[in-house]
Amino acid sequence: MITGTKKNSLGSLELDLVTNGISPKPKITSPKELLRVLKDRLVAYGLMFPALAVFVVFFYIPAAYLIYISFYHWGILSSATTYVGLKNFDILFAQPLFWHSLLTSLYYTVVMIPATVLLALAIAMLLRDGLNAKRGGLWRGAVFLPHVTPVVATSIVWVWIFNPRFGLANFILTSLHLPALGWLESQQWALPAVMIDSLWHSLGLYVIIFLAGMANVPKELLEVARLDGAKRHRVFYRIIWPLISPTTFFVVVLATVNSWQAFSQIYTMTGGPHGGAGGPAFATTTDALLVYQTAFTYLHFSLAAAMSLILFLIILTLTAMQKWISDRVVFYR
Amino acid sequence: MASVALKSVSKQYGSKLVVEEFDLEVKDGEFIVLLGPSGCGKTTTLRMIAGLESLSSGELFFGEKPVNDIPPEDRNVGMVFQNYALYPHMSVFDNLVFGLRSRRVPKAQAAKAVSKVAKLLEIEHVLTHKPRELSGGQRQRVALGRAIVREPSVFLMDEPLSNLDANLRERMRIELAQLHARLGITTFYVTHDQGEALTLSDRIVIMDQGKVRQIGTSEEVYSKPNDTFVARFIGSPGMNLWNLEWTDGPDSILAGESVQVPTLLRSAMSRIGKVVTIGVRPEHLFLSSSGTGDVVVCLDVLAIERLGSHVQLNGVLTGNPSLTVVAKLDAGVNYRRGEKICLYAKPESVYLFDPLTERRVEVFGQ
Repeated sequence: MITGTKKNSLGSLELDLVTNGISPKPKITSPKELLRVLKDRLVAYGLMFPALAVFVVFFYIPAAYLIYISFYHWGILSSATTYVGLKNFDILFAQPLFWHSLLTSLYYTVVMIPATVLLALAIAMLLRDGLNAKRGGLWRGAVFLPHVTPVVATSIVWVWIFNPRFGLANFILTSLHLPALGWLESQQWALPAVMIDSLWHSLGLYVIIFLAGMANVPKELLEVARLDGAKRHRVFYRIIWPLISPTTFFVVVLATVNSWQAFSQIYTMTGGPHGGAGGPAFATTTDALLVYQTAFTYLHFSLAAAMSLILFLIILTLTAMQKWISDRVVFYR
Repeated sequence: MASVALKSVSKQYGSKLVVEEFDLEVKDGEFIVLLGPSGCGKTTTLRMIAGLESLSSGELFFGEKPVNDIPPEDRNVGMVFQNYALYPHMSVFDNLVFGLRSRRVPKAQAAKAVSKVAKLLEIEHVLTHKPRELSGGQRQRVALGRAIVREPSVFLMDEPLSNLDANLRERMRIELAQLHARLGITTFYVTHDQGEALTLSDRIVIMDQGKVRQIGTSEEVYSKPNDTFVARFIGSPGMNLWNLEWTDGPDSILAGESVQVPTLLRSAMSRIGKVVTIGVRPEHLFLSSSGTGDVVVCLDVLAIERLGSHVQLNGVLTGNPSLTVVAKLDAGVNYRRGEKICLYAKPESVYLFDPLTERRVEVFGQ
C-alpha cells in the first residue's frame, strides 16, 4: 500500500490498477519513479513503526513466550529451562483447585453477561427516552464516571460498603427488614459482592456503547412504527432490539472477555496485598486470580503460563461460538 | 376517512416561531399540497397532523374530534417519509403487515389486506425481499403500501418523490394521482417542487417562514397570487417583479425609464402610490405587439438560454440595471448578447403589487 503524498505516483498507480485489472504492483518505468515509490513505502512503514513496535514488544513477544514456557520447566531466577511436554497441563488437570477456579470464572461470567446487558440496556433506554432532554449530558457523565475511576481505589470503598457490621449494604438490607449478609466474609456472598462492584464499575462503558448503537437507529423508523400503531414495548422488541443487535453482540463479547479476565476488583476486595485473595475458602478464586497467585505468590511460572494458555483458548472458543451465533441472529445493515 | 381542520395552529421552538396561526379546513378526500422553500414550516405542520410534534397553540380536528392530545399511534394516519423509513431488517411482507399486527388485526385478515395492497402497487413479486434488495421505485411503493394497507383516515406524505430520479418521479407522480383518485383518502403532501404541487393538488397551501401566504387551486395561485412571494415562487421561472416610480403621460404611463404601461392602469397605480411593483410572467412577454395599449418592456440582453421549444432571455431593464428581466420567447429568432430589445405584454397579464405590503392590488378584477 502506498500512502505517499505525491499525486503523480498515486495517479499512475491507480491508472495502472484500472487498466491492468488486478495487478497490485505498480508498474515502475524509470529509476526516478522507483525512488519515489520506495520513498512512499518508507514513509508508510515509518508511520506504522511506533505502534507496531509497541504491539510486538509488549504483546506478541510475551504472548509467544508464554506459549513457549507453558511446555517447559521455567523459573524467573534460574537460567535453565527444561522441556517437559504436556506435564504442566497434566499437573493442572489433576488439581481440584484449577477446576474449581474454572467453575468460579464460569459462574462469574454466566451471571455477569446477562446482568451487564440487561442493566446497561435499561439504563441506556432511560437516558435516551426520559433523561435525554435537558440534562442528558450530565446523566450520561454520571453513569460513565465510575468507569474512569481506578478499580483498586473504588474497590476499597466497596469493601467498606460490604462490611458485615457497619457497611452500607447491610444497613440498607436491614432497613428493608431483610436479613443482613456476610458479604465478603461469606463463601456464598463474596463473589456476588464482587460482581456488584464490577457491574457498578463497568456499566458506564456498556451504557455508552448501547447509546451509540441506539443513536444509529433512524428516528423515522421509530416514528413510523408509532404511526403504525405500535406501543412502546412493541417498538422496542420489533424495531430497536433487532437494529441494535450488532451493538449487543459487541457488548456480549466485551463482557465475556472482561469477565473471564476479571482480576483487580477480586484481588483488592478479597484480601489483596495482605494475602488470602480469592477467599474465603477459595470462593472467589477465579482462573485469572489463580494464574496470578501461581505465578507471583508460588512462583510456578510454567504452570501459570499453561493456565493462561487454557484461559486464552476458553475465551477464544467462547468468542468464536458467539460469532457463529451472531452470524445467524444479528442484523447488519 | 376524515375531514381535517387546523384552527390557529402554531408551533414554537424556544423563541422561534416555525408555524404561525395556520388555519385550514380540508374536506374529506381532498388532496392538499403544502408547498414552500426549505425551512418554511411545511414538514413541521405535517408532523403536527401526524402527532409526532405537539401543537404550541391552536386546535386540530379529524372530523368533529379534537386530536391535539391523541398520540400518533391512535390517530390512524399513514405517513410516507422522504427516505421511505422501511424497517430494514424485515421483509417487504413484514413491513406491510407490521401496522396491522400492531393493531391486533387477525393474521389471516392481515395477510389478505397485504396481498390486496401488494397487487394494487405491483409489488407482489418482492414480498419476501428485504428493503435493501429493492430499487428506489419499489421502496417507494412499499412505503406507500405500508401507509395505505391499514386504511388510514388521513394520509401524509413528506417529499415522497424527492429521492427518485427525474423519469421515475414523473411516473410515480401520475401513479400517486391515480391512487388518490381510487382510494379517496384525505391527503397532505409536502413538497418544494411546484410541478408536483400543481399537478397533484386539489388545493395548494403556499408557506413561507412559518406563515401561510396563500391557499388555493393551482389555477388560483398561478393567476391570482396574493403577494409578491407567491408570484415569484409559482411559475418556472417565477414572475418578473419591478419596483418602479411612475410618471403619468397623455397616452401612456412611464414606469422607471424602460417600462411603459397603458393609461387604463392609472387608477390602480394611483391607489398604490408613487412607487409600484409591476409584475409580468416570463411567458407573457412577446417579441411583437398585438396592438396598441400593450405594456412595453425594454431590456438589455445579458444571457440567452436556448431550450429547444423556447428561448429564455435573461437581462436587465434598460436604464435600471439592478432590475432583472426573464422572458420565455419562441425559438427561431436569433438573439444576441448585449442587444437592446423591447418586449410586449397584454395589459390584462400585468400585475400590480403594493411595494410596502407586497400584496397584490386588483387591476381588472384579476
